[in-house]
Amino acid sequence: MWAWLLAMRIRPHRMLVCALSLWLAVGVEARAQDGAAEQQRLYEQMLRQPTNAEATYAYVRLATQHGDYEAAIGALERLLFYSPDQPLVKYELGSLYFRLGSYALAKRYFLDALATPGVDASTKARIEASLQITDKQAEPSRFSGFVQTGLRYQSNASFIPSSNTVRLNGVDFGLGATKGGKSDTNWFGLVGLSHDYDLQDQAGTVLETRFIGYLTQQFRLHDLDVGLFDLSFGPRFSLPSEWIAGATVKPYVVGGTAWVDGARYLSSGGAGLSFAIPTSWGATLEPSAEWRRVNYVTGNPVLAEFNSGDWFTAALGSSVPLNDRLKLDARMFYRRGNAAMNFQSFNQFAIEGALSYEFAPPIASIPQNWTISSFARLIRTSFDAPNPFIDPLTSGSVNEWVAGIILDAPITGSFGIATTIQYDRSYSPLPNYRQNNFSILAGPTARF
Amino acid sequence: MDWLKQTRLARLGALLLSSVAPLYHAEAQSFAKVGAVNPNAMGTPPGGADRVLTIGSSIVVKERVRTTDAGSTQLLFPDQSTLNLGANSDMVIDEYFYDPAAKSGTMVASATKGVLRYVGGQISHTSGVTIMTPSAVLGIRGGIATLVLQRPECVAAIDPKLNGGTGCELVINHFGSLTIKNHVSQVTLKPGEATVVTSANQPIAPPFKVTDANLQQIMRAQTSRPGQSGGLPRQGGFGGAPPGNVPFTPPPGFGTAILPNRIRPPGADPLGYTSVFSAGGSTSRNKLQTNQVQSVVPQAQSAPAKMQNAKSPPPPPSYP
Repeated sequence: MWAWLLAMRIRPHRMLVCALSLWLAVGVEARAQDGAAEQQRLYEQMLRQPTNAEATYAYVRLATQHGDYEAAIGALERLLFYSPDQPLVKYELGSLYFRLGSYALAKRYFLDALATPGVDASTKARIEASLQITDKQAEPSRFSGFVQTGLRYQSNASFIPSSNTVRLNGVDFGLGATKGGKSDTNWFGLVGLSHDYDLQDQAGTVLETRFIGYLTQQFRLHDLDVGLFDLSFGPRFSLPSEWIAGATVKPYVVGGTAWVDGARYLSSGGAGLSFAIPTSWGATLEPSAEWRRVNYVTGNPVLAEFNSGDWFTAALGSSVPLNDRLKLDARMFYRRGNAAMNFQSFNQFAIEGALSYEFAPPIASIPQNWTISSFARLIRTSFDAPNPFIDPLTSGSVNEWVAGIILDAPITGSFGIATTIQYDRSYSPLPNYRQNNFSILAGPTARF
Repeated sequence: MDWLKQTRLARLGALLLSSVAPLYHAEAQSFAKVGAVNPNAMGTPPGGADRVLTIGSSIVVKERVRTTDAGSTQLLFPDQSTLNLGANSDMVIDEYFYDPAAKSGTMVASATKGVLRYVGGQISHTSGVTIMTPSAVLGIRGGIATLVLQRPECVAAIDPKLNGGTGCELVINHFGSLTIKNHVSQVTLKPGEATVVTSANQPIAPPFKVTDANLQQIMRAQTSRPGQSGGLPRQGGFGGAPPGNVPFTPPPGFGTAILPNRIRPPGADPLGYTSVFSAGGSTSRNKLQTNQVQSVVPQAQSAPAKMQNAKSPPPPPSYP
């Protein structure tokens, strides 16, 4: 077995990841089939006994878990035929329509629930909070943001190679008394902003603006202080429904810049095309293509010229709701980087995924669910030619693995705390790029 | 009329398929059940006499279903779709077949008046559902739709956009894709959009949003009125309570769902979030690796080495 793995040049940890992925996929599919059969059985029972409330609630629960919100809606609207004054049924209907993106009907059911006699205080608070969210979704101009600040500890903040050596002109040199890397803690700030402006025209045009900003301040290694931002803008159009129903396309322009140690390090600008294609299984596929001109700005113009070039990226992303609490985000991309020197030109392939589980918070008064996400990423980068200054005989390629867990814990409707534990490991034929790093970060978050 | 030809072909295809497949209407003429009903709702099977519909009544193919001024009903179909008929409605399910194994089939209905809400199931998810009205043909994919046929004045009075004539038809798409065709035009509605069809020979109005007040009127017409109980006996419903106030207890946890957070600015989703930290880390690593190599240049005593730049992998792309 191990000889076969060796022969196939498949590392055991890769096999483990593949096996885990397969187990997860098979397990999810098997559970989905069992659930669908049980949902069908309950539906047949409802056909025989439409007034059986127990079967109806069991059917609604199962259909909701499987994301079959229409089925749950039909059953609950029947209960309202029997008993119109049911605020919880109306609230549930509102939340189901909200999940479908039918905000006008969601709002109507929430308002009906509020107007129903006998609504208790906690239900009323929940309905009012839901109404606020629904109203925001229905506005033509929607501004939202995510902000986090906090502290991040890294075991190898200085990116010292695992072997404590770097190769130069084909010869390995020790880096002195820094073996294992220098740990450090930083303060960080993260801001993500989005604005959608729905022109409400026949083409369904929405003007989308996206901004991301990130800033760090190291406690000890100040030459690692980083700042970066990225801004994109473009109109999103609906494609003709006879092509693909519900699909949209967005051409956009994008630009950004980054600083290291207080000095500008690189800037980039370009354009792209992004599609959003809904599928029958509830996921949305998002293929995209992007070009960027990247300019490195360093003190040495020759070095800058070596690195600067054009990056072409093709990506495919998707967010798949596995049930009402479990969601899989996945993305893969290929990037081609053309630089002036072939040893700085590269091909990069990446695949990444995050499995998120949403659960009720431990305190009932918290109005938002908590989410725990496990994520993993593999990035493989191959440079076109050996870097003659590092090792003229060894081609530079790097495999970078990242895995971790994020706990997102809202405390109020807008504020919360997020914590991330992450482990990075890089493999390369060149010692310069063999590294590992453990990091943990935590801090308050705000959403609006 | 290409669209009419397509419809006829689809119906012919459905008819041929229905004769060979183990389908609901081929095996038994009844295919739908009455799930709830407020008096009066009447059913008229083909060639039969009028009958009063009650909870559990079976609906047969081509049966005409009508409701009176105070009547309303909900029909349940084998593909887990439902159809709510409000007051003064009149419709016929012309064709229905459903293959549970393939989870697909065909549904064609004709509606002439009233307020109807269709909530989709397996058929609308796969092949789509067709509803014919006096002025148009609706193709529903997804999906949830409301039809107000021969719209009453009380609905028109609320929204100036609906002042297109009392006989015209209001179509609202709540979810999925809804295409409306008549003899001269075709309109596709996105979720949340509505349109008005004045007649088969006049262009269909451009999509617009229905006001909340209008929606409130329409929803009231689609379910029980005060004092009605959807066909449950006046005594002995869920626990024998009086109509309109049936004390069925929802299970624990029901009605406490928290809305999913739709606020998704960049960095708020797990992959976008981690990619920002990776991008920041890659940027500083890029520069650090250059510094590391340059720190050993005195040992190497190599002039070209001073020119080298140890470029590490670039960061993941952003999420536009």
